Amino acid sequence: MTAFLRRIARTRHGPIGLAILLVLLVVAICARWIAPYDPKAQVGTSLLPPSSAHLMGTDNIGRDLFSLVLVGTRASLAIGISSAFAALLIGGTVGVLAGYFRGVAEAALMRLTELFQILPVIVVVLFAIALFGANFWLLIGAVALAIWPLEARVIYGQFVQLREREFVAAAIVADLPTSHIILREILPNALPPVIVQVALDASLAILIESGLGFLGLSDANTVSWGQLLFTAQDFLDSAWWMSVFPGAAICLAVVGFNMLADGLNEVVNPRAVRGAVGLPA
Amino acid sequence: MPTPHLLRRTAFALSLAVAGTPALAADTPRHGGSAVLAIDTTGMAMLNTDLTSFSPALFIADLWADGLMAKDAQGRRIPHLATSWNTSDDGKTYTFKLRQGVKWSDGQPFTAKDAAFTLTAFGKLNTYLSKLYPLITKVETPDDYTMVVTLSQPITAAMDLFDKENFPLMPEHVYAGTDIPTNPANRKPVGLGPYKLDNWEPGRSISFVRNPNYWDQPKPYLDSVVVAVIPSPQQQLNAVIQGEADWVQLDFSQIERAQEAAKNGKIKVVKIEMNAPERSSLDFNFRRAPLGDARVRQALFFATDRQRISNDAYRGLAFPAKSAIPVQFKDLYDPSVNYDTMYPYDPKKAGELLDQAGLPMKNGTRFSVELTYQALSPYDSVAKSIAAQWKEIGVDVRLTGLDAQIWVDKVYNRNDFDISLVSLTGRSDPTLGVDRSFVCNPAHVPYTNPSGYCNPELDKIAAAAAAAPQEQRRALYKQYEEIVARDLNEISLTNAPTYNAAATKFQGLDKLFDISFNEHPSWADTWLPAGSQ
Repeated sequence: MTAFLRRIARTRHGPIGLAILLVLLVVAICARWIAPYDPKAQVGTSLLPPSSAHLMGTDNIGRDLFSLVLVGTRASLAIGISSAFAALLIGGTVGVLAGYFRGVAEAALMRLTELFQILPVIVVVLFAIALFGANFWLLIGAVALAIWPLEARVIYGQFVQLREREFVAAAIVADLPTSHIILREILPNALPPVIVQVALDASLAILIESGLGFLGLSDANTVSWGQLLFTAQDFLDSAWWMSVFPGAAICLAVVGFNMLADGLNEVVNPRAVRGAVGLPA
Repeated sequence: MPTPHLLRRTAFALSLAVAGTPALAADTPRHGGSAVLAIDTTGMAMLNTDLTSFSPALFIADLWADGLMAKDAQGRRIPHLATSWNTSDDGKTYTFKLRQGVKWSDGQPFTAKDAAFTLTAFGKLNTYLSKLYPLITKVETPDDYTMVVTLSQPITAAMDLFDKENFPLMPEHVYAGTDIPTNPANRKPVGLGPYKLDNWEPGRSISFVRNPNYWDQPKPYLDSVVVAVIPSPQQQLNAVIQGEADWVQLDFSQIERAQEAAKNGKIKVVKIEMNAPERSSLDFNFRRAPLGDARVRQALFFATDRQRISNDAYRGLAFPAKSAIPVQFKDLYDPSVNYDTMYPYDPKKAGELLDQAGLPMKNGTRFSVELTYQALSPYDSVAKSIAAQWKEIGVDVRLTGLDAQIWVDKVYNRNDFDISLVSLTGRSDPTLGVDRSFVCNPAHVPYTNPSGYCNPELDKIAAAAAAAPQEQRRALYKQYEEIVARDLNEISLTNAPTYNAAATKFQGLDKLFDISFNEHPSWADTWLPAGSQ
């Protein structure tokens, strides 16, 4: 693990991304203690501009925006990371099955993946929330549902390619159980590009959550950056601080995940010409 | 009966007769031009306000529909399609003399039969007439221009029910013999208003053109009125400030900005002085413990800082409500009941009451409740304020902000909620807008008492107050207020005014806003001077 981190640290963007995310992670964990006020309490007059008492000002009902942004880190990171891993779980299973067994399974599963891929992400999530209401876990599920096809395709591609390699043929000849071949032989070799995809998906998940919050569809009980932006819409002219600070926080997290993904990409794909993630090497 | 309005019309006709002289041209209304209204019509399925009380449809109905009477800015009744009216001494028989020679927007003649048809066919479908409809014993039309309605018992506010906002007239020749709720005319209406529907492009715009058959010629002056579908309050006001739209009903978050923008003189912010009281309220579900306990409801009232909610969510433009009967009903509200003194913001007192009710503080929490509301401004801010305030006394509030339709189903159809936040219009009389929150309600009608609270004593007083002569009603409403203040199935938080913004390039804006209660601008009297068309 430390060796892996050291390798990331030697890449161009990796260390910056890693540093940003570590800071956010610490903030998320310690938010309750760092925050100067109870984020859900009315601690001042509404719409106070930033000052020494309220570093980021107060919102439209008099809550301390700095505390809200700090505590919002937790929800935004949690949604980003757990949705990305949930998507990995769903997409991974589908991709592995389709890529290993080919044939009918491949046809059925990959068409299903494509079906999800052509659905506009935000519409899928809007539907889910309109039907079941906005709660935190549903939100994670909904975001995961929207992004899993990406993971499925990456893993599928890896499996299709690796399955034809000699070491797999050798394993089959040695009559190893299928589960062993999939999990122990192919999967470890298929993982590197998937890890990059997970980091990218985490930033995508944060953006989707912010979008939903902005539309007023996030869980009102959990403070998140997107939700802070929703209220801020009506005060763009009169209270710039309500939109600028949560917006900057979203930006920071997304940039952090993208830079980490960039670093990971350099590590797992050392032959690639150094460049942006997603572009052909 | 010559009314002031008729006199004005005569004077106006005289002024038209001499309008040929060029000196008068600048202040003589002229035809032409159009107005754009910024309204969020998302979710609006039909325009017929005999069948829906969806606010955007109500805004738009004033363009195409008309009724027997309207109200001016002082709340005085003025004649529209009825030229005179009277009530029998026993308060049971209402006679309306109707305007002659009027035609519907499709050119068919309008007669008393249409008015009688609207009452009998739409009465049971109209939310506001639900009080009146069961009491009607007969509706007669002795001639083409007279309608006589007989009730089994008097209702003091009956005249208000025949107002154009509650009772827009519908054409018999279009609706007779059809299935009324599914009649295509609900989306492409035929009416008596100053404009008629030209084209409805869902999600984009609804355009209306001058109704050549409008009864009050030479009005209207504008060639067309276009409803631009603009969803967010901020964008609605932006459109008005940029001159892309000419009118908007302002959301509270936008009023300060509108007033600031009005300083350049291009737009004007108007407060509707005598608006229908708009009460934001919390409904408690009596079926859920511990909300069935009056001490708990009282404690939650003590724990609510209503002044703070008025200051924050309503930007200081609303004020804490005083009792179940809004103060705007100045002839009916009895000031002996005043929530400001009965239930001042007092978290300590609230804590004591909850201790007595057997809900002691354990690890900083006493109990947890759900607060549900439509995820819109200003409910969103009100709900978050309440959550912050109740947390102080150890009540953990779970917020459920929902889409309007899902929220209506949850609260009013399924009664599956703890506490619901809503804003209700009091309309022009407690009988029309207030009783619905408190009287027994076995049915599942949206925006009526969802709490499960049913007190026959209160119902009796409400019925007596509805039928009593005007001067005796205040004493009854005093008892009404006292019972509600004790039982609190619903607590009234704030009482909010209504603000509009309009472009000043129009002439006749005073007339445009010569309205009160639930009426909206009809754009019949407004015109554009030559330079600004």
